[in-house]
Amino acid sequence: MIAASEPTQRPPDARLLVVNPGGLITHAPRAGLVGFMRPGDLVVANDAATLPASLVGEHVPTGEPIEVRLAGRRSLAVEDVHEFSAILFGAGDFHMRTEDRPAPPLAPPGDRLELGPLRATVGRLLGHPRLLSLRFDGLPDEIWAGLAHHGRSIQYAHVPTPLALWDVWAPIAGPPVAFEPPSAGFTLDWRMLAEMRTHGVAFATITHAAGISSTGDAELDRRLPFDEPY
Amino acid sequence: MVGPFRLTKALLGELTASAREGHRPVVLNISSDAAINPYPGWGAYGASKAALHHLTRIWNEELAAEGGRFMSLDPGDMDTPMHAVAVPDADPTTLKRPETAARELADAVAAVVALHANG
Repeated sequence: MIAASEPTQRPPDARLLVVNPGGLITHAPRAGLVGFMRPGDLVVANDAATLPASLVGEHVPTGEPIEVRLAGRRSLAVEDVHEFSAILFGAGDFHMRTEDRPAPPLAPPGDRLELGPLRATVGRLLGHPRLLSLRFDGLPDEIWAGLAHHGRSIQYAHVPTPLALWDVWAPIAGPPVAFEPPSAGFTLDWRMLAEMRTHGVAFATITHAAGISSTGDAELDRRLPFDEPY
Repeated sequence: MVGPFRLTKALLGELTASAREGHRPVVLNISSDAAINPYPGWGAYGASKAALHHLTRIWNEELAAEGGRFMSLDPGDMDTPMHAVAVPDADPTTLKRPETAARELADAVAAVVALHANG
C-alpha cells in the first residue's frame, strides 16, 4: 500500500486496481478507466460532497477542549440538520493518530458544547461514552452557516498538509452530506465523463452520505459503518 | 474572479446532476460594461469582469455536453449605493431601478431555459 500523504486526490499518475473475472489483479493508469468499459455499460457514482464534519470547541461543564466529528444524520433533507450522531475526541488535533488522542471528558445527556459559533446539547449516549447524539441550537440556515464557517473536513494523521474542503470534494460532488469523502469519485473528471459518452457508456449518480472511517477506538470501529442515509 | 471560479466549481456536480434529472441548469454571471470598456482607474474591476465574462463563455462551451448553460450579462447602470460611489456625478433619475434590472435578468434566464428545452 502507498499511503496518500498529499492532499491532492487526483495525481496524474494515480493507478487503478483492476480485477478480471478470474480474480486476477492488475494495475492500470487511472486515466484508462474507460478502456475497461463497453458500449451500453452504466457507471453509477456517489455524488455526495463532504461536509466540514470536524468541529473543535469546548465541553462547557468542564471547559476542556474537544473535537466533535459528525458521524450520522437521519436523512439527507436540507432542513433536517439539527440532530447528528457524533464521535467525541479529546485534546489535540489530527497530527496525532486518532487512537493516540487523549480521552474526551464524559459528556452525559444535557451537557452543552460550544463549537465555534455553534451551540449543541448532548442528547443521549449511543452505547459508548464517545458516541452520542447532538442537537444543535438555531435555525437550519444558521447551523449550515456555522458548519461552513467553523467546520473543517475530517483530517488524517498520515496527511501532514491540512485538507481544505476542495481537497475532499470529487469533481462530480453535489450535495454536501458525506462525513468523509466517497473516494471512488476521485477517479472521475469531466474529461472522463465526455470520453464515456463518446464510447456509449452511460453515467448516473446517487447521493449516499458516506460515513466516517475510523474512530480511534477498537470497540467503536467494530460498529462501523454507521447507518448512512441516501 | 476567484470567488465565482471556486463557487462554480463547487456547484458543478449539483448542476450536472440536475441536468441528468431532466432539469435545465443555468448559471448567470453578472457582468458590466467595464468588461468591455477600458475605464481609467478601474483596472482590477474591469479586468475581473472581462475575465469572468470570457470564462463564462468557455464554461458554456465546456459544459454544454453535460447539460449546463452559462451566461454573462451586463444589467446596465443601476441606481445603487455602489454606483453612487463609483460615479458620484451621475443623475439617479437616468439610472435603471435595481428591481427592473433583476426582472430583465430573470427574463433572460427564462428565455435561455426555454431555448434549451426546445433545442
